[in-house]
Amino acid sequence: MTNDQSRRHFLKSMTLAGFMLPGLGVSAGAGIWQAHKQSRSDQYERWITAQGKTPEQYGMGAISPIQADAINVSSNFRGHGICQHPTQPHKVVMVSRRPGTVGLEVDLLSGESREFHSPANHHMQGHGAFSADGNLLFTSESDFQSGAGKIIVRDTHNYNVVAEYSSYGIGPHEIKRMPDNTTLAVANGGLLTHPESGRKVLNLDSMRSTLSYIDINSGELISEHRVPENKASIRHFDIAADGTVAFGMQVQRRAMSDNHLVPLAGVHKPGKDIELLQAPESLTVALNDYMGSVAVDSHNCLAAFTSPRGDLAMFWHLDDLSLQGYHKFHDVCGLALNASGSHFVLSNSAGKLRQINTKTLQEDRDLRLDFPAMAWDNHMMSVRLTS
Amino acid sequence: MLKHTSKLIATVTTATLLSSCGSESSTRTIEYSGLNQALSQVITLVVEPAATNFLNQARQLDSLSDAFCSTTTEPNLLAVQNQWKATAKSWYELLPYNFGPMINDEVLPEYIFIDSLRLRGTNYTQTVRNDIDSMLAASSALTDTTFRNKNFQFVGLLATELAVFERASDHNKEIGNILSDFTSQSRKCQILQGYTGQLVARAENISNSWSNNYKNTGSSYRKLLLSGGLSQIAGEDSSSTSTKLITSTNEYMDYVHKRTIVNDVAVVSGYTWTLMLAGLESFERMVEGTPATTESFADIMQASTATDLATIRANIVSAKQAIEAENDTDFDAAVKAIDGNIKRELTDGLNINTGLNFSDGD
Repeated sequence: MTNDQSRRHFLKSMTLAGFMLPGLGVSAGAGIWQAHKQSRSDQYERWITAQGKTPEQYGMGAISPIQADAINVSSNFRGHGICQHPTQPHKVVMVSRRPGTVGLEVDLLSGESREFHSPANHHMQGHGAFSADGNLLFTSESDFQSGAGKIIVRDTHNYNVVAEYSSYGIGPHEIKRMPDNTTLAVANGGLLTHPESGRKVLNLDSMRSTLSYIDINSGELISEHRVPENKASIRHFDIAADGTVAFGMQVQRRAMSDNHLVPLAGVHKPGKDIELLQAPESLTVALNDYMGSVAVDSHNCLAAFTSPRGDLAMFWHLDDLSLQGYHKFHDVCGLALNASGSHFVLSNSAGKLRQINTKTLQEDRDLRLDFPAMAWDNHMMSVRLTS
Repeated sequence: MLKHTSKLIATVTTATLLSSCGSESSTRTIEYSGLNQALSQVITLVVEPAATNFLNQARQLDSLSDAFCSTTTEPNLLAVQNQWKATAKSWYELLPYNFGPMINDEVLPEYIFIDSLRLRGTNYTQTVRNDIDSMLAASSALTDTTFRNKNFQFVGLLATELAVFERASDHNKEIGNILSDFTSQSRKCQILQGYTGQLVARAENISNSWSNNYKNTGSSYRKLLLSGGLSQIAGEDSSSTSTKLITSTNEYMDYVHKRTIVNDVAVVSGYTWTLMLAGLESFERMVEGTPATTESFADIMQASTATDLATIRANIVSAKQAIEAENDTDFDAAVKAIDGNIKRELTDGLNINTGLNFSDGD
């Protein structure tokens, strides 16, 4: 266990960091959305996403779809995944992209933020998840001395590390709490990296990716599951209300001896084997071996996936596993189900946002938003604030 | 009121940021103006004419195939073979611009029915040979519908090449033996005409989309692309012209060296290296312009990043030398270098933003 490595930032430092209501030319006061308190509850929805193209721009973007505005909380590091506190929904955490070592908690109502850091000799892998009561935060990290994948457990009151679990694999990436609240699902991507060699993958020949289920209280491995292609790295997933995990993969093509086609999406239903999601050859080829984000719509039994290298969002039915549709969108990666469940929200690196109706899987073009000063990064999350 | 205020916030934000960009460098605005002009000229002087030329060549191939099948003589067969080469060459001049009308449909993109190899480097030579053998052995009528309904692996330039450059039974390439294939069995001509007819149909779809009517919008793809009108079409990739050109040429170079296509393209006709040169020179025209060009990418780079331009030019020369020497190792290396040049030097030199780096492991 390490000492508390968190730092607490108050409004003043946040202002310096760029936490502003753009356009007004003034810094945000405490409670940046206090001005909207009189608005309808659905106006409290925010889409939270890492954003920025350069270190100077890196931050956590918060988009108001109703007000059609967005702010950026400067982070000074390239963020990746976002997770929301389950009992204090105004608190969100953004975890740094591999091989970063910083996480950032932001209180969307008070304007306070605080950082926390990886333990010594560890780096983050981009994602985190809260316990059901919100008292613990689990982040996917790596011990870069041993190469072992770790789940670092922190007390969210002070972000002190209180436990360290094995991830039961190398390169853990997305991590989420299962609907039973007692199990963590972890995508062990299988890719070994070291901060000294940056993002270079060091174990292409021996990589082994798993979808693992871990007891949230003990850290014991419950089960692990693999896909047939050993050069396919399970990276991201989302979980349906019934515990079905829909996951996306990235294929390490340069480590393969041929160019055989590999499906990039799959599902794991409780008690069953992994099933891969099929698509026409031309679409699978177009994905360029890269799925970037996954979001599940349990109500409509849909799993959505995005591929920024393929400029495609794709949608499969979770019952019969049939492809339901696709949407072309340049550099699309951010993906979330909006608060009402009416639309999948897609974001891209040009600051554009599009909404795909979950009933028709067609885009509602009237709902387009464009923030040319922003570059939405890999992941997005819809949060509904309460006043 | 609240909504109005919020919209104002967003507007002011945008305006403020645009202002700050412009104030950084007054020349930047001029460069962007030049880039828009250069982009427009690449589309109108390089890409769209390539689509038109491919259609014209395909039509000529179809016409010469009809003439040959009316009079099955060696000169007429040689004319078909030569026209196949001209058609394939025109295709490789278009292939680096694999977007918009070349795709048309994500599930069944137009280009794969012309060039089955391009999808992912799978060589369907044996598949086509088996299909030709089956069609020759069968007795059912071979109609336009027969060929229109064939999957992409069974039609296109490869199928046409195999029909006119080798004898079906033993793949012998001697002209007299190929001619006897046609004189001894009328179905061989029906196969050839079926193939060329489908090539024309696909070429017409592409050229018509580029120049007249894209996806029944009543507007040409050229006009929609250059005016920003693509965003109004459902399901359409509305990324910028610059992004499309950079991405597609980058993907083409990536395809050429990663799939080592010199081992698979036009092997039976012996026309591989000419096609490699055609693709390379088409890319070079995108960079340098044509005689009618007044503002080229090279002009823009020469004024700002001349060293980067020199690097690109040097690698194009290297690739041409490798083609001349028919050295596949050097060619793949040079194309790989150009692939990198597109991502770095060309993109930076033109100040084009193609997006974030969504790299492995994210």
